[in-house]
Amino acid sequence: MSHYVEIKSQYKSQEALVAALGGIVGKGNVEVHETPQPIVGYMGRKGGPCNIIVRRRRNDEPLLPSYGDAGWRRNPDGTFAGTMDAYDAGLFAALPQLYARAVTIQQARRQGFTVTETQQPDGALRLTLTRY
Amino acid sequence: MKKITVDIWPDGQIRIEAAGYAPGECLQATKAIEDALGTAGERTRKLPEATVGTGVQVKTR
Repeated sequence: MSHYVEIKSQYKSQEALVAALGGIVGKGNVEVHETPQPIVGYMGRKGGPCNIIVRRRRNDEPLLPSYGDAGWRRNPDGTFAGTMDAYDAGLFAALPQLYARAVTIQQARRQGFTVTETQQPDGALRLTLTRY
Repeated sequence: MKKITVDIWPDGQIRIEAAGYAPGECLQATKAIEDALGTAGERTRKLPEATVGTGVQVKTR
């Protein structure tokens, strides 16, 4: 017997979200704050506050080719919601896929599965979890 | 062999398929992954190939 199910993705795991963002901007460029911190948008506008932040600049040095910082705030239900300039959304286009990949690998390892990855012609990433 | 296939599209759409489980076990096998990823949508059950013959998928409600 087998089954398949389609999932509407939500950012629930801070660990996986940070790992996925690290895959886009570099591990050392993702800030994690227990207490939400403000982010800085286009023309210095204040936004946020957010728990997970990717800064546009650090110490006056540009980190991202973006219009502002990007941040994710932890909602009361534990999920994370992102805030960023609309023009910067393309920089994080890979985030949903990278996040789901990180969560799946995390869960697979916990359950003792071996994971193999293959890229599908339609752009999907296929993770095959096997266990004897 | 227990096998779970997770397809993840760039927009975050996800499809999980489990195979090689005894009846009733496969839903449990994927539950932790489903819960961690988000909200599960419609679930489609596939009968064993020996029963279906051509691999036709049967939707259940």
